Amino acid sequence: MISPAKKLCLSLVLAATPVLSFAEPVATIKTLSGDVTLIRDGESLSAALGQRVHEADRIITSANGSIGLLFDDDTRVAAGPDSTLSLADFSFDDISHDGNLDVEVDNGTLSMIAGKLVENRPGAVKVRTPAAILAVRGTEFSVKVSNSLDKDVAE
Amino acid sequence: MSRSASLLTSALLLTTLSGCTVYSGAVNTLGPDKPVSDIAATTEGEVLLSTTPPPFCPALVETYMVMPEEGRTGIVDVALVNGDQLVLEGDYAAAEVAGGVATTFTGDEATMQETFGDAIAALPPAPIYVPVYFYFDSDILTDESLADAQRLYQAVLERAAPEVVVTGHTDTSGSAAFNQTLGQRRAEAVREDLIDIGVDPQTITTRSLGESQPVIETGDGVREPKNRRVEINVR
Repeated sequence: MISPAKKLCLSLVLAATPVLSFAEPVATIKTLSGDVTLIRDGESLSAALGQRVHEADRIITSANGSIGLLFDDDTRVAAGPDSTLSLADFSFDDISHDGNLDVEVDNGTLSMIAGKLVENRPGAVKVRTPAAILAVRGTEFSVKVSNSLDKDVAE
Repeated sequence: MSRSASLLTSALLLTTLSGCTVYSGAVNTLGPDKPVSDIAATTEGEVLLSTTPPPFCPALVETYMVMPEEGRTGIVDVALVNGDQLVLEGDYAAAEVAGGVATTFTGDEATMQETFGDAIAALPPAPIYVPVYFYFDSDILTDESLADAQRLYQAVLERAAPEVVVTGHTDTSGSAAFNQTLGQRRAEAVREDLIDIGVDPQTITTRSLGESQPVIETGDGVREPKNRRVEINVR
């Protein structure tokens, strides 16, 4: 009944669907000050307290901004002013506590207190910077990236 | 004869000592009056300063520091882009990477606050986990747990953007299906209490794990007060 062209079209749509459903909510904004922008699917959103942050979201804080996130595995991540970070990857099984978290910091400051992911498997949380990959075995640490090249590109 | 020789000698000496300025000065007077090209007038513009950083001041400086922890030792493995590996272990263990070269050091409270203070101040408070217990085959809190629950409900109201995850559990007395329902009833009872004191219903999640996750392992069909509980997670 369905023509080959329609079949092809349908299969293309089905193939594209998983890409759209990729970005899951993974954390909640628990602290917020100043101007903080979320970039989601190429659109800019103004961050709000209590808002859910999705996998693949990019977070940009202004010169007066800061943000604190609570991930679903209880990992806490905060960024200070003039910071740019991306939530590259997050998965977490509520019962087994398996999964991983990858956060990219292009610029600025990040502080982290790792949660159940690291408790379950040391190294399950990673922070990627332009110069290094940091694997967290436990538990609390901070990173500062002063990236003047990145700033020139951003402005 | 000797007179012309001494004249030549003194001329050579003068040229040497003066660094040829006498000679070159004389030659330059033969050049054009304005030694500036005509093209310069049409091409001169604003002076532009280079925006790329000078090579001796690296464009990328990174600092990593393990924060102090009570009763635990913080460890972070650092893999640099150039292939070098570092392990930062213990309170204030730190490294600075400038121009791709890492230098390790041990910081202190003051350097930590100066470098990362704004981010540290923005860290959310830790989530709270409290179990509350129920009477046998009921969704009524025990007298002991009632006070714990009231304290916890107040903590919810004091939080910014609170979320509450309520998970009901039972002991193994009765069928698994019955206990699944009983666990949900217990979770819903806590949810109702939270809504009564003013917590936004949309921020409360309830679920039941029935008899599947006991705190104390028992055989099937065993009454165990410690397993008749709701775990309240305030986030």
